[in-house]
Amino acid sequence: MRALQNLDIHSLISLVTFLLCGSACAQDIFTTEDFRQDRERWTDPAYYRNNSADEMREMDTANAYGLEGMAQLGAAELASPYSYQSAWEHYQSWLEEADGGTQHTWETLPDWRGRFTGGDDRMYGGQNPASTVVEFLTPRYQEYFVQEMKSLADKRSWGANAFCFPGGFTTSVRDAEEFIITPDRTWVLGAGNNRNYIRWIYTDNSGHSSEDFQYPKWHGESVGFWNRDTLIVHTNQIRGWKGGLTEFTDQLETVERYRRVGDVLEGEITFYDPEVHVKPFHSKLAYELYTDSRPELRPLYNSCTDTNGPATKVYMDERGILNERLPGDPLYWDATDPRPWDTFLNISEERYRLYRNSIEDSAN
Amino acid sequence: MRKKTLKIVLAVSFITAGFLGPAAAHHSHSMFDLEQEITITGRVTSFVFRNPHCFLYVDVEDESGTLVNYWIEMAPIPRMIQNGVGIKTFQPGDPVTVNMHPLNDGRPGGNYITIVAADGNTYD
Repeated sequence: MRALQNLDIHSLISLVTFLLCGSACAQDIFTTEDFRQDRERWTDPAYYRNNSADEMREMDTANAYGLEGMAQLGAAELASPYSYQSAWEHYQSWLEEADGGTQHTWETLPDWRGRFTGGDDRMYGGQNPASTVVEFLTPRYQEYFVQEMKSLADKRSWGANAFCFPGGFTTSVRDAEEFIITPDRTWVLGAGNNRNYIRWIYTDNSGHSSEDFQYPKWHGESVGFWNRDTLIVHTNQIRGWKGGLTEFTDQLETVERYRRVGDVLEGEITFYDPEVHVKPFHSKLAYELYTDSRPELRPLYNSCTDTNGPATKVYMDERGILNERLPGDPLYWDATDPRPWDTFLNISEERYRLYRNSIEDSAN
Repeated sequence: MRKKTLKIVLAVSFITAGFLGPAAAHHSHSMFDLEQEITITGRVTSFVFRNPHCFLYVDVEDESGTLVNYWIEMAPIPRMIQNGVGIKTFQPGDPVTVNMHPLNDGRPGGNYITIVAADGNTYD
């Protein structure tokens, strides 16, 4: 009885699961041959050995494959605290609360000078077990998410950075460093090591582009207003990509809110993507003032090609002339593939299976 | 103990997520054998001080006396600066000793852990 009292919640869940379904449940993301057959276990923390999505994604560089994670159920609330049905309804409600917004002048703007660091990792699933992310997703995106978790467990990870892709919208939010505010516009800047970020937020009441000219963009299109010292932002036309909690579609719209409190720029973001989420997903944000002012650590413009080289699609042919590879040509790469990670993971799954089989064959 | 190690590694990883995160996770490390550490001693042929990664190239004499050029992947520039490495730290011809996780496909190269430079300092 005392042993039972000492069990933490995860161990208890594992024990109950084992008692309910026996050894069949012992299979987890690290040992399963076919994760698609384990659907009933995708919402079980033990299936991921209690790792959060972040812990799964960090296993590579931490050399921590297969280790038990430290995730805690409810460590960060992922659900939106609001009852709005859409991002636009959310934004309009806050605009109404602000009586149409505060019209700042240069003299009345708050002081957001400084370089900040570290958006909140909760936007990437936080410290909750990966199983809790699954609960947020529609069936198709549950499978995509678990496919990614399986690839991480097999050391077959795909990363936008690795292929010199842009980081996409979620990365531009997480890696924001400087907020350049003026009465009618705010620029958000960030400098990664292989790419740079910029967002334009229009606070001049000019609104979004007309519908005929709306199309997906890497960082979307952002409009906003001030409620005294708080900036509220609505973003639509976000290009579907992979990042944050999971991948997202062109339907994603978000509402953000930022306010400086001392040396911290506090914020929050709510994600509305009905194709992917069964309910809106929410994350707190916190950017702390960076205090290392050494000149050599200033942000800088970066290009992934500085060490990774240019794309292979455009090349010099045997005549010495610039040429392009077309569909069907060797080394052709489809730049319009909307989900290149899916192409990678599907081919990777098959290659990994053949590789495992060849090792087993040579061992026998 | 391994769980504790993971905790420390992850804590460092989260702390550096702001400026160093993108490069810290620039690409998968599955190409390296993180269970193994090897040490090589040789002379620098070139040092590439660039993002997303810095690279050190080192000539190492093998058992038959043949020079083998090793490719060593390092961290991005901001991380290297924070660890005291600048553009002049490694010069062609400098003797260096490199401790690294080797590539797991047998090619001469790896992901650095520490480098003892010609000035006698150890950089990580």
